[in-house]
Amino acid sequence: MNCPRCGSEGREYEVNCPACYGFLGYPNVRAAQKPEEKRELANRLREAEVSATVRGCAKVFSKFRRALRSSQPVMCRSLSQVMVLVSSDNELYASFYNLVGAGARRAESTEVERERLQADDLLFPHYRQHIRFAALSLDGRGATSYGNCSLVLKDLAIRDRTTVFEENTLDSCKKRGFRGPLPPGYRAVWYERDKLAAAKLQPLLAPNMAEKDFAKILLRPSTGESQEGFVEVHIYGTLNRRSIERVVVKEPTHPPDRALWLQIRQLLADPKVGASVETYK
Amino acid sequence: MKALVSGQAGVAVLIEGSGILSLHFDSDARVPRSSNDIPYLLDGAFDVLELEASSVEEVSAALDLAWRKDKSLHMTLILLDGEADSEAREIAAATFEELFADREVVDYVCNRLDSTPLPELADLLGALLCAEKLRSVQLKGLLEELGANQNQIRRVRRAWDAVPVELFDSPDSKQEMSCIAVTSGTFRRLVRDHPKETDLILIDCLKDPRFQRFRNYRRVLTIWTAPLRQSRVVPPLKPEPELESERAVRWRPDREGLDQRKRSFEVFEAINKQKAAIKALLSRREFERAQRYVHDLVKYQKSRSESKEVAKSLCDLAKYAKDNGAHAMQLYMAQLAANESPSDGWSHAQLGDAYLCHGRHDEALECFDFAASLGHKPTAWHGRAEVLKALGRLDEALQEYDRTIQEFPHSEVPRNGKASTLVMLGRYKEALRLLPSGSPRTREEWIAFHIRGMAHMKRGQLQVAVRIFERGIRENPWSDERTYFRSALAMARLRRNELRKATETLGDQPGVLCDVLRIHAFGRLGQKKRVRESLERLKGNRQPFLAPLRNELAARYVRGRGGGRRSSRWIFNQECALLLAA
Repeated sequence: MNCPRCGSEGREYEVNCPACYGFLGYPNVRAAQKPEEKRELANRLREAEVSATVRGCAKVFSKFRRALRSSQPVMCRSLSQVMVLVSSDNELYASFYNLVGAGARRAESTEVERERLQADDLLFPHYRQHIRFAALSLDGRGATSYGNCSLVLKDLAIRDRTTVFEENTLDSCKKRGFRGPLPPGYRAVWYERDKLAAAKLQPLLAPNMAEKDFAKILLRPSTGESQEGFVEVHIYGTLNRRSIERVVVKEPTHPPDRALWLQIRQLLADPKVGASVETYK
Repeated sequence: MKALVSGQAGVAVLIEGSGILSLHFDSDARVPRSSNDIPYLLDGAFDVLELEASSVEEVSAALDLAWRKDKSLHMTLILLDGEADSEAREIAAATFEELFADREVVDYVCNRLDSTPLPELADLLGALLCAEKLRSVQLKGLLEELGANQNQIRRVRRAWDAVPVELFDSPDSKQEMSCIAVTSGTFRRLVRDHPKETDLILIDCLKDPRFQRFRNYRRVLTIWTAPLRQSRVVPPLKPEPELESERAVRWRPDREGLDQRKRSFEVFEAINKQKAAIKALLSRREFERAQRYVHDLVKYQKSRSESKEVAKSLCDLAKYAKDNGAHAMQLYMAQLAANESPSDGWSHAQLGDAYLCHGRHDEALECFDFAASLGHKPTAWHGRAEVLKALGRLDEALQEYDRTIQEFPHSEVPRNGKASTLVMLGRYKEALRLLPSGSPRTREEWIAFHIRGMAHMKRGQLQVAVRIFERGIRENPWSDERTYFRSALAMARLRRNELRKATETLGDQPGVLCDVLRIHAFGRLGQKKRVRESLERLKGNRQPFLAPLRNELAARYVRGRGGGRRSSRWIFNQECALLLAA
């Protein structure tokens, strides 16, 4: 793409113009804004609308899209991981949490993660290290089989740098045998997340479906046989405790987890953060 | 089978051929997974261990250990956080013994705690009190040793930080090697072992393949350990030889035979650490938290030392609070000191000083009289003189100084007090005759030198005064005393209409007088926002001479032209009085 300020050519993964350092936009957002992506997504949505009308679900489809416009990105983590995130401004915790990983590794640097890296390279060429993953949710609960705490992120903190993708990236790449670029129409910018999710999930809607059921359509809970199904959220750049709107967590049973939960609640109640903690049994 | 284990995520992923399972710490279920799930299961975890295992049970045990390691560090930090939720802190203390039952967990946490000094505000005493409440010998031992090792931890860390980054391939490479030094327990050994063992530690590291893969590893390790061969700031206190296996669990219940000197040193260090934290909180003006830390300090010290020692700590802190303009805290701590040790004259003199700063002159005089009756005559009489000076009863103050000088002719303190009063009275020649004329060396001589400068400034000999103040800033070895020279220099510059220079001289230095001079300088420069900021900081301060001066300056520079009623000369005299009474 060309820099809107000086006209120099910038690479797909660059955020700033190499010549004038002008802002080029976030690479994931630019990728989702390509005309062919938008065109294909519009086609899919149109087809979904037609199909919903034929099946007598036009009203539900319209309600579902409306609900999707207020969907939120949710990351699932353990209490320990949330504690590390929410205490990053605190000198005491930060000094020692930096040493937690001493001698250990990040998941993405392990051998079994090679497939994941391949998938990421297809979707986020040269900028995968900047992408954070979440799932789209209507009720504040994320893919809890991956972690007890659902971190609901603030719209303001992510909206300009976030895109959504049809499904688990790796799943999608595997289905296509890691060959070539992914076909267009399966990703969208944050403001068009309703289009993508509606196009994907229209077949699961039923004529008399109530709005309260939408959450489970958008994020299908894991059963013994199948994994959770969700719309994947890709956020460019870092997150910190001020990016969190609320934390939804299963009531902890182990005493150390309870201590962590109490401390997380206190750290998030700081007026500078203003996030809340909700629990469920 | 291959396994990925993360204590942070509380998850283990088992991979055997194409079959993938996940184990979760909080459930017995073995959840079938696909490779697509792995990134999500371990996303954001940075403690992932990759291991080859022969059975699911083996992986499950590894997960259990990783989980306990992770939680143990969290619990220790929550315990050390004075601001932590109180229930969370209690749970953290209560779960300690169970979590730390395993030697590997102890090593994991201690290797990390011994590699980085605790931040200033870590609440070591609060944690120790929690341990005492629960009668946890293990926890108490760990915390006391941690407190006692802080100086050495700082020293070892500094030595590592001083290793030039150019010796590594990149800054990341230095970070990576530092991580190995943490996990291998090298930091911990350098902290805890006798300096004589440094060479042995160095040899062990040089033989270790984990270090050998780094460029220049020999030079790096030699440079790092070189300064640590010299004996520590505090000499090692453990004379008996110790078996290797005992080293890692030294703080465990079997503390019999532990050297009493070591115990006293640990207590002393813990108290010092807490005092440093309180001072930091006072500087940051976090008074509520400081009060809690003071409460813990008193509680902890009371059970270990005499009440006079507790009062001494409190008086030291009260003086620090005074120097930082935190007069409410000064009074609070001086009152605590006097209550703790009612027969200690020094504590009553400190309380008198605190009352003086609050403008409670009658109570101040009572305290000084009581202190004198307990035998602290020089401090008490000097204090009385200061009260009289603050009340404007300068002649009576002079009499009080004379009485002290007569009784204690070798003390320089009353002499300086008298000279400063004479300067206030405009009797400059007498003041100068009283002050030493040689080059200042001791603290009191520097104070006398400052008074000399003030006398010249008040006489209008600004050039001489400026030379004195500049020398004071440059050469006075006592940093707190340099503040007075800096304020006086700013005052001289204000007098010479060098307004910008005056503000530059003051910089960001805290203190009552600095704020007064800032109001004056920024007021004349028309910077009302800065004036208001300084006025806000002076709110509620009852230091002698301050209130009328602050009101006059506020009237002049906040309300605008015609706001003030006093002359510039009056302001200058009041500023001088404030400085001389400080």
